Amino acid sequence: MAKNKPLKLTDISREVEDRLADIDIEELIPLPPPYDKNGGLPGITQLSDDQKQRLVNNLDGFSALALPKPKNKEEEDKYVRQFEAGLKKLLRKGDNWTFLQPLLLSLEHCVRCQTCSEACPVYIASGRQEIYRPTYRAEIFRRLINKYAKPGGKWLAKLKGADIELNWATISRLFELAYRCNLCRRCSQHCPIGVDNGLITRELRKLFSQELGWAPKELHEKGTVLQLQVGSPTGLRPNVAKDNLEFLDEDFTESLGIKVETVWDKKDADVLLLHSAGDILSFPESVIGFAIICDAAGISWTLSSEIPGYEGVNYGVFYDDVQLARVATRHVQIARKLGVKKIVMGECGHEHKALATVADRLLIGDLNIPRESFMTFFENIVFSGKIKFDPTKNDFPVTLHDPCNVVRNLGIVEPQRRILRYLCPQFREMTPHGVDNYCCGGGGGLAVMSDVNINDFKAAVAGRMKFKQILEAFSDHPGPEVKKYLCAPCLNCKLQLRVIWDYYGVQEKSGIYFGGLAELIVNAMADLKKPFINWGEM
Amino acid sequence: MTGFFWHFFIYIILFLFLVIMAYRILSILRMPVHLRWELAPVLHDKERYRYGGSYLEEYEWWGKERHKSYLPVIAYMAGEILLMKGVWKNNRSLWPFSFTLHYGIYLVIISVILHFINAMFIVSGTPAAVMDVFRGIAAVIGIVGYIIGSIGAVGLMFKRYLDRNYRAYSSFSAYFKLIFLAAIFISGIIAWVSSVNYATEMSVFTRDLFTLDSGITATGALAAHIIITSVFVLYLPFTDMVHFITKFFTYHSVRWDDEPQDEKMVKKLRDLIAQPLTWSGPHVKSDRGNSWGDMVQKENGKE
Ligand code: SF4
Ligand code: SF4
Repeated sequence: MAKNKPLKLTDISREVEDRLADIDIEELIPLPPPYDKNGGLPGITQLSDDQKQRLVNNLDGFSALALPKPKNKEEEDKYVRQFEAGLKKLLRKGDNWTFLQPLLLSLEHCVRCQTCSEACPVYIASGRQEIYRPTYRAEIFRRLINKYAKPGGKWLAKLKGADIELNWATISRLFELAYRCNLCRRCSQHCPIGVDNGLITRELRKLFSQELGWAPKELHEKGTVLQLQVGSPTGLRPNVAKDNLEFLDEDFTESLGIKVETVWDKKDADVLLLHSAGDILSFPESVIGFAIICDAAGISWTLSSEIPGYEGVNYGVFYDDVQLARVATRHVQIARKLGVKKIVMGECGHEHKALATVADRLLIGDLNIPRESFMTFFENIVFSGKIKFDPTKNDFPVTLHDPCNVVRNLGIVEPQRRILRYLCPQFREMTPHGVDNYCCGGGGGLAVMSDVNINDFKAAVAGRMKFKQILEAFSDHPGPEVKKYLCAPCLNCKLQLRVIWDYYGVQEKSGIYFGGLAELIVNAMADLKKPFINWGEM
Repeated sequence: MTGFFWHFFIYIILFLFLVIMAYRILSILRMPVHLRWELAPVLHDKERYRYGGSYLEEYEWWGKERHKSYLPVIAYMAGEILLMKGVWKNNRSLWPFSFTLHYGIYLVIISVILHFINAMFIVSGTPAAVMDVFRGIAAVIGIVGYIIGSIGAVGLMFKRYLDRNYRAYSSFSAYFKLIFLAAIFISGIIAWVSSVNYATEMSVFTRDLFTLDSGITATGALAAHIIITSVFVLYLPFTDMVHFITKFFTYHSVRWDDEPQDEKMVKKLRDLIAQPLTWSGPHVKSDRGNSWGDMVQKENGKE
């Protein structure tokens, strides 16, 4: 049980400089050896004196948002007024038709049974810190809405004993707290009433973004805004993306001894592959793997070099309906212009959630172009008989991470497993898995956020349950002498795993490597003379 | 108390209860179509529901026929309503109190139905032997309901107060609700114990209520029990206890709403996206009179 003194909901509005919790690494749930001794690990980086001076630091000692302290009381009051206006807009049909019904259902029917708490990987991994309990932020938000956005709210709040004050401390803490949640919705899955604390957190983020213009810069200025302007949050412009892939094509052609060629802007192709540019830069084997598989199966496919047609991410799904709509619309407009029959969504979980479901009711009329997951696309190819496989090439321990946005949110569970059971003789499941999986700790946009010391939170707290279950899945070969493969078919999950790997030194200590699904498929292709998975370069 | 007081009192409360509940349900139904936000497992997905799979697991799903089955949905709902399976699985220490409270309520409702049936028997002159059996059953069900309901309500009150997982989240209204429920059950026990023949008194009261008999009477503990229960019925629609109905919507209208857009929906969506936005975030650009449609159709995202 956490050492911090019991927290009340009203503490959210207490004196500004006062932190609500201090996270002590010794209080986190233990990890299996050799990670059970915290001494050899980096610990939690404290904010520098300069950062403490400049930045709001009143929550838990982490800072994801680097929110500057306001200059004066007037500025504080201005933000508080804007927040209050935003609370009201969330309840208006015109402004929030997109999520009004789910939001109100979740706000009005929680019975405070706390069944959801034990499902939350962040709360559990933290040693049950009250501040990370799914209902902590949700209940505060609910009480604020009831008090400030509903008629007679102030009077009723007093009568019901549910009075929380809206002040600068409240909103500055809530802003950070909204980014201590992975939006993984494991809590929602366990709620007997059907209340969705993940949704409530997203609505809170949305209020900050759509009304105050507050959002993590990695998701907004350097995220969706940059994507719509130059093509990708990575800053990769179309010509540079093309150059990079041309170079990668040559490189892999040479190393594999087969022709690898990326197709760009092919009119009327059957398939537009929508990768994430982050894969081109950080995990190019994935993008090349797709090209090899598609060519081997005789698929008519193309990539797009139009802004942002080579960048499938859509961070809007994490924080802002307007940006979500803009990015999703651009994606399908590009597909329509190319005249493709369908979009195949690449190895990116939230791209799936955005395009397959959340934006489905925004993409109406001729924007409604069929959109399919790479999981079913690959399954169809692998079992079509068009490619010959030799599964003995993948005869090493393999386990599978289920990206929340594909599995828990979309219910795409088995296609990837059928492929792995066929192509990987030593495939084993994690516990729990499938729709009961744990988030990697990078969900909800955290994977791409790295300001101040938030990476320590991602590695030590948010990703802890995932890391623990990965280690347990390979407990028969704990050391580095046996090389093991964690299949994580999602760019953001891989970015988060990289943070965990660096923090704990996983590759050196445990010999676990991670990559996508395409790599395992290509590695098992019988006609490929050389191995595609190159352990030395992962 | 006797006479038309009871008729006025109970019928007005029932009427208000129905009106407020209808209003709440209608306001949920009249909310605009929302963006999809489903969550696996979606139980109407035939066969795949077992592991949480959906129709999106089909290659080119848009060309395939969808297979739905409502049996798993019914089985799930029955497990939740009758056994509180979710709480049993995920929150075992709460289950004994939650289960007894809910069963207390169910049994009291069943006993009320039995009193109604007995009232009909009295009106129709059913043989005494049959009535005795039903009254006996109603009496037993009633007292068992009151006792286990009391255990549940009082137990939950203590749990809320003593367990740090609940205390901070329990406002005055959370305790008030439980006190109210406990008052129903405990007053029920007192009425039952202090009455010579509780089931007969209740059956006669129910008959008089339905036949608008001016001789209707209830006194002492029974009157107090009926008044507390009736006021609770009026209070209920204003609380989160309406989840006995609204849970249907949290599941069917959100978690399990995996319908792709169709023609009927598109008509509604066109109206919704024509609405102007008033959000003040600078990137929304609502000062330019943007509507959802502007953003979705006219590439307004481009700077
Ligand atoms: S969100 Fe659901 S599980 Fe959590 S406290 Fe509320 S009703 Fe209980
Ligand atoms: S969405 Fe996930 S991370 Fe967020 S509160 Fe729920 S379980 Fe925890």
